[in-house]
Amino acid sequence: MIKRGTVIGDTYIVKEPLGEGGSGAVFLVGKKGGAELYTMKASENKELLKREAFICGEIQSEYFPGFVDYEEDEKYGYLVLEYVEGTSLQSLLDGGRIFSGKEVLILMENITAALSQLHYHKIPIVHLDVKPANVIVMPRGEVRIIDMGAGSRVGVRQGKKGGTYGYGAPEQFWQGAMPGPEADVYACGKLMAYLLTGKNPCQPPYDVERKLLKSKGVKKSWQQVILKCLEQEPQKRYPDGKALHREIMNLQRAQLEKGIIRNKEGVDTIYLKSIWKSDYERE
Amino acid sequence: MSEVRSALVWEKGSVGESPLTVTLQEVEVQKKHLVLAIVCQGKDDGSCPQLPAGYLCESMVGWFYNEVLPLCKRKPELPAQELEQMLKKQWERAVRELQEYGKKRNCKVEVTISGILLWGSCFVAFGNRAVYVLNRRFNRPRKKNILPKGESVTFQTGEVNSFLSFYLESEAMTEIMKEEEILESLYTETFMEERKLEKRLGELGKATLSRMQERSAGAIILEVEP
Repeated sequence: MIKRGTVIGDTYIVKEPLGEGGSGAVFLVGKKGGAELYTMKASENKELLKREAFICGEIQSEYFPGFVDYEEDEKYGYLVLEYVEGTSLQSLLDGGRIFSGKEVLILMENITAALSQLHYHKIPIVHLDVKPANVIVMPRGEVRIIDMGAGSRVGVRQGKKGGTYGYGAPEQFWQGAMPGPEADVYACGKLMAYLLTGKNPCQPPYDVERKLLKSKGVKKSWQQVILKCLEQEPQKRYPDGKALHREIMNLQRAQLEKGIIRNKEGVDTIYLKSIWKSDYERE
Repeated sequence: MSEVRSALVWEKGSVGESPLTVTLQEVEVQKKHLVLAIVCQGKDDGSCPQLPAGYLCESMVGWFYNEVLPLCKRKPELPAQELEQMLKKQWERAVRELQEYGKKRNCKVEVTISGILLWGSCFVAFGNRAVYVLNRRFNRPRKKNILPKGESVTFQTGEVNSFLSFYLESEAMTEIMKEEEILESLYTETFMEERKLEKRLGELGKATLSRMQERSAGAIILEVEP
């Protein structure tokens, strides 16, 4: 058990525990002699943690916490990442926060943009654990995706099933699976449905999105996008984060009034006019 | 931050399917205006007249939101020359795709087009038809074409240093409306209130239609004050 004040690798001092999950325990740490804070994940499964460290090291994006360091001792591996100050989407939902349609679209715009960067990385990567607990909303409304513990390179056979029941695509839980970017798309569908209906997909009854979306009065065009994400067969879903991002942007444009699409605490993009006059029917 | 006012008119006329597409997309990001304005008309051979202009404009609008907007969010100081290069590449891609689409549908796919891409105070004008600036010269307001002449699509970058009024119009308006009529209605040395601009442009559109009902008419005016 790692306690407050423990020194790791003669460099990092544990400040406080932040949480515990299937892939390890997470702590807030500082550097000896420095004021900066970091997040540190400790795990006895060093192989898994090293894989996560490799993936984090590869990603250089404003949507993911930056890789700082990896340490090991006899018992644990320690992955040190940039500290992301904010609140998880799960905490906001648990606290009763209700998101407007516009806010949901902004969140999904950011999440799908993040996934798009992973899927189109020079070594394409899939996250495989997209869920509200792994989406951090920062004070200025920016979004960070955390916990690459289940992530893998596209086309690499997973030795171990990864993901969270309720959000994970069916193919993620098959033995010897090789889930692709479509699995992240599935999770986005679950997440978007949760944000719009308030129904946690991890709690029974399961897979009731079709009925719930209709009964909650979610617009038909939005329902279509979500249900396409939730197709059981991967090839029937949007192929990757970029394709889903485009659809989210289409939904945003269709929302236009002379209005504002706002982040949590600031204005990001103001859509002023979208006028199309033609006899040609857009696809 | 610069101020922008815009208005658009599209009158279908008595045609079955109009070959004219007019589109105006305006977004504020990084405290700057990002605008795409296009007037595009297919050279109609009767089989699917609405297709060429509609398809091209759809491609340009998709590019605007999926590529230009995210780039402008990341790089607020994006220079006009870089925008011009992106626009040229996108134009070539859109034309290629249109030609392939036209082959499949067995449709003629030529267009006339004029457009403006505005980012803050810099702009790229493009088209094989005129892109006008309404200005005063020797005490008389004039429509001045800022694009190089030619039959193929040309591109012109520029900077908005003082109040500028861009004007795009369809073939019918050029042929039917006299320059004086347009200038009398639209020309102003300062901002016209947007509602007034919309009303005046709407009246011009209807006036065009009243003179030749079998043609579609369309126009966009975009006023920018840095």
